[in-house]
Amino acid sequence: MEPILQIEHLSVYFTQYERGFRKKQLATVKDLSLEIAPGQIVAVVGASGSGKSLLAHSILGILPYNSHVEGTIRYAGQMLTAERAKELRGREIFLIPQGVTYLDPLMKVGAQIRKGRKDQEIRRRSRAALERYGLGADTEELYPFELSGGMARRVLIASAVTEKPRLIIADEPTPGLDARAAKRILSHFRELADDGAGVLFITHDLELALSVADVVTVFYAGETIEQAGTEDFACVENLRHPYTRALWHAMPEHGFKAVEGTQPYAGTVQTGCPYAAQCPICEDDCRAEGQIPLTAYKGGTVRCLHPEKGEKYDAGRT
Amino acid sequence: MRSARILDKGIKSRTIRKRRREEKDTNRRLQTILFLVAAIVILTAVTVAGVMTEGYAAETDFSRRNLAPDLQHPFGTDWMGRDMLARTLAGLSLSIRIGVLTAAVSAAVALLLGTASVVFGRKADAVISWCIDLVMGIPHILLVMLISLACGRGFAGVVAGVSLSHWPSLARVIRGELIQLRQAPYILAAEKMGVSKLQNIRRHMLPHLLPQFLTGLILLFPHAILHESSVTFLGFGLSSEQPAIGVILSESMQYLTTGKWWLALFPGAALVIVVILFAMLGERVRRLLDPSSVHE
Amino acid sequence: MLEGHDLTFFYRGRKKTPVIDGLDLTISPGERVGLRGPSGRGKTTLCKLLAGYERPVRGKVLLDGRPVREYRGFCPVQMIWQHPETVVDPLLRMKQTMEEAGDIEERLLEKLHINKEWMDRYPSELSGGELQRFCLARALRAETKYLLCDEITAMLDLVTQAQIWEFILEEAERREIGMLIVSHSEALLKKVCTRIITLIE
Repeated sequence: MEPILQIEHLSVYFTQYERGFRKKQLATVKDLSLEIAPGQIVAVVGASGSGKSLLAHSILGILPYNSHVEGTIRYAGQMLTAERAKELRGREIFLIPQGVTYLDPLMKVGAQIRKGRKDQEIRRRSRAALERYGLGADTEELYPFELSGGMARRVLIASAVTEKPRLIIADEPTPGLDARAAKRILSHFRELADDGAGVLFITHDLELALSVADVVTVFYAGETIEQAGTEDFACVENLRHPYTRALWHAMPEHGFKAVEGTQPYAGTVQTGCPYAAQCPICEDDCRAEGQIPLTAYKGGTVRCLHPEKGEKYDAGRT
Repeated sequence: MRSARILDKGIKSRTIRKRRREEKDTNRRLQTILFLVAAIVILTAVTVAGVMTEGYAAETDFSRRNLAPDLQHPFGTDWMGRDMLARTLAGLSLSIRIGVLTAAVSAAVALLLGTASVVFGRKADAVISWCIDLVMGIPHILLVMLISLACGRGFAGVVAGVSLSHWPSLARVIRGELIQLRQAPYILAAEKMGVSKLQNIRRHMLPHLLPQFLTGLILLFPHAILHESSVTFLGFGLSSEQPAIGVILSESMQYLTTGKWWLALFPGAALVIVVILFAMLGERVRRLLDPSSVHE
Repeated sequence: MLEGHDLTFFYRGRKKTPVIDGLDLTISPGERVGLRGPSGRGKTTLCKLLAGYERPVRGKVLLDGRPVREYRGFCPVQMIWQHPETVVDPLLRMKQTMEEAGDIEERLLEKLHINKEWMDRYPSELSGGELQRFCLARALRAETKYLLCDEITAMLDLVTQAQIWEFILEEAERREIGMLIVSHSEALLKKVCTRIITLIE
């Protein structure tokens, strides 16, 4: 099937002021490639500050003023420009954002879902959509400030399903929700995917991502270091990158073990592997010139020069 | 497929072009600072020049009445032979001085009331908020006229009128900012670290309030200047022997129909330029201090 | 002993829907109490009451027999917040923020992997995980007896989460610090707590 979203070699650069008047360029997303097929949920998992939110913003063409983008984004086979994204947003592409400030505070919920149309058909559809997510018809008469965080998010999803969504971008859609409420929201994404939409799920929470996604892309310091099927996480031997394995070992149910050091900022690693400073099996060539290429390995992709060596190391550890 | 590739190429060359343009773009922050310095120098120069030429501006010489602009009198002369350039400068200078004074008084009132409404509890807040709404509800120009009349017009009347009508918007900003700051987790956390109340105000509250206050203050100038000139023009402000822009403009109205265009054009244009300069100054300062555009 | 007796709290004009209603809780030194429950059940509010940020409408919070809000200066009950970026002044460099907390042992900074050069940065130039390390360092002064952790690693990646808990557990055990740990993660609570209580609807 043709992918609904196809991103190739996407890089996002920022211009920033250092102290005073000096300007500098930061590559906060480096060479990112990603595909989402209809019916698929792809999770992008990364720590805060790893640049993952910029991905959503660059797809929607809403990056801040001091940035620019290289690479290509295709939507349903055609180039997705900022103008086209603007046109499709709210009709085929939907953003479920981190905050709930995307709802218009001055408009009743019902009117926002119906987007100004008033015919019987749309009324019926919006009511059905709200009902589907456990919100009564009286929700239509409420203003956004009268909604709780969880309700607001369900309203945003409801406004997506009232249309025919083809691509859903969820950027940390469940902060501050307890595990049960978060799972409930995520199950709605599954339903939308089963109806034929592609879902891009951006989060810092690997456990949450694993509970719903088909494919997980791991982000580290602005680079995608591994793409794996969700089932690969069942067993650490199937994982490819040392950092992904470190994530696995750090889960409370898998030993709760930490590795030393901290993740560098997106854009500060100039050459070589971004994980080099934390990696237990780092070699000289890992720090050499240029970016490590993304290579296919064992049914997924990995950005590592010595994946076999990492496997051996990990096998010796456990 | 082919068309996609062509599009692809188009995008690439566009991004490259965009990047080049960005590199060429000189530094916005440097430009802003230069602009601020230039604006302040110009405004100060006008103020000082006005004070110095005040004597000359009042000099009448009936041998040079109603002269159109020429090299000797670039702005022309009026029916009493006074040099219009000198009068304009003196008028602008007076306007700026009144503007600074009234803006300062307004800002002080705003600071006082804004703080009081947060510090003295709910009842005080209700009263002050009500006052803010009341004053904001009346058109400025009307209020300025009323207060100015009640205070006996003249310099005192104008200053009282303008400063007593311009504080509410800034007071509202300060009140909102303080309410937020009082509940800010970093201030509460600092208290638990043993930081005293006074220290907290000095280290955590003032630095947040100051930029808001400063931009508010600067953005008050153009309003104050414009309103001062308007009431004076309408005859409710400064008296006619003072070299105010409002006086010059209202006098020139009588001569406009006889073709003495320079009497109104130059002083009017000069006033507009000064007001715009102040407004731009405030806007730039705001952008420089506002974190959401700090990297522009 | 950190005790909460009959704690009740509601916001102004919301008497009918109290956030917390008649709750009793005791934490002994060295004990690590886990707290779970659905969103909106007042877990954060409970932390704020116990740390003395809010005054309960009814009931009292006692630290070794004395009301916690009566302690002046550095408070021996410290709370760590879910969003560390809200508890540091955005206009101050980290060095200045840390100075406020008095002398911080070099050992703590080292164990928390706080980079010397981070001290010269503003909070906006640091990630959530890095800021949380600073918050822990300043809250774990020698006087601290109780530490209340409100979802402190919920916004962090797994590796950082494991690093931070490894440090806290070691420190708490050595100094017999009593802890209240709020988390939505069952696995995490089981791993770090000595007992777990549940807030029900």
